[in-house]
Amino acid sequence: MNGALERILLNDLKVPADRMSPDVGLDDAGFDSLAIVELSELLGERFGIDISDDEIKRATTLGELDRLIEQKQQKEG
Amino acid sequence: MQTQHRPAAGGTGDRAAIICGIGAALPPTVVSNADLCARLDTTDEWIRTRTGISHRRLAGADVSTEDLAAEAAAEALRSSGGDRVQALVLATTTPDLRCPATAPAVAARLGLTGIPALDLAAGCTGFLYALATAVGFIASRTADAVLVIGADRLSTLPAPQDRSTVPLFGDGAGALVLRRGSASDPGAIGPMVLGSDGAYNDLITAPHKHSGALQMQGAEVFRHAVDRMSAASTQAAQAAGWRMEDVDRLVPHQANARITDFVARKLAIPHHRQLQNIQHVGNTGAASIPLLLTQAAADGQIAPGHRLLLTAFGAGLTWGATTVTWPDMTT
Repeated sequence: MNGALERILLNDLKVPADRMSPDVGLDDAGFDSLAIVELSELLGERFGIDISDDEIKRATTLGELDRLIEQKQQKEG
Repeated sequence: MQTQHRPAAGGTGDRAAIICGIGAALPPTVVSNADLCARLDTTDEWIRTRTGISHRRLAGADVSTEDLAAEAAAEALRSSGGDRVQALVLATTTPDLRCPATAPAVAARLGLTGIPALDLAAGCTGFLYALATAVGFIASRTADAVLVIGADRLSTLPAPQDRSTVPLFGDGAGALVLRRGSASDPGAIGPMVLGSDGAYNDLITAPHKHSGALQMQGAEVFRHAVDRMSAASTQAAQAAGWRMEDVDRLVPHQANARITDFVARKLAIPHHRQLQNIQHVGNTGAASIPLLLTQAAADGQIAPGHRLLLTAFGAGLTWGATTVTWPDMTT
């Protein structure tokens, strides 16, 4: 998984390491409505990635979220 | 487009405002998450992971905002060594009546009949707005000492069955006594940063009793709270000539532990320098900052000489921040 996403999930959002798998759903990883805002803010602040809450919500798994962030990074990089 | 009020010095010359007394009051009824689970469709884990709260204190029908405010204020006056105050400012979103204001009754209960006394509403930022008002009373020679109170019964605002907002709120009060002094004295209130943005007034609303209950758009509130409190804190620290690493204690309004943790992280203030009591009292609105200060001073988490950065955010939207070096006083 993308380093940016992985670091934020593990260190900031405290997603348990055993749930860090691309096929895990956002709900199963413990994402609640505040976690979506936290992730969006942290990606913007630390990596300059502009991603909305709705875009995050549309990703059903961590793998999809990972791909979305990679696309954004390429576009903005 | 928005503007933010330029920070003004918190009083100048020999008319700066100095903290010289502090006190707090909590109603006796302790309500745990387990107690709430018995009547709401929620769980202890849901409440703790989303808010950081495990208990709150509730006033019930027999304890008024006036009662809480008067008790906290009496303690603050005692701790100031009985300083005579010439004005009283009460920040509250939950006055006992729409009219008259609660503050004159609090003043009368304290034997202070005759002094100017007013309520001030700025949501959970109310205490910082009240502090700025008191600083102004001292600077303008309206008073040489002012009682500043934050008191709220926020538990009265949500619909009784609203599982997303009922667990958040607790009731309580906190108060400070400010006296006239020099800006270089320990306890001098630093430059105040205050702001508001009514374009977002629908994010937190509580219509009057009988016409609906509190509504809050949690995710958007989270984003604004984090952004506004971090920006105001940065501005207040800069205006005081402090670097963030100079801050010994961050004293944030206890809105939600995840909000205050996020603000501290954004400001690069380590967790152990962030004061937190939301676990035991919930979000107590305008009471939150003076209540936190009183408890932290009593248990030694803040000590004379500590540089404190105070910040708050609330309905309005409103926000603010200021600095103070903690004075040596009896608590």
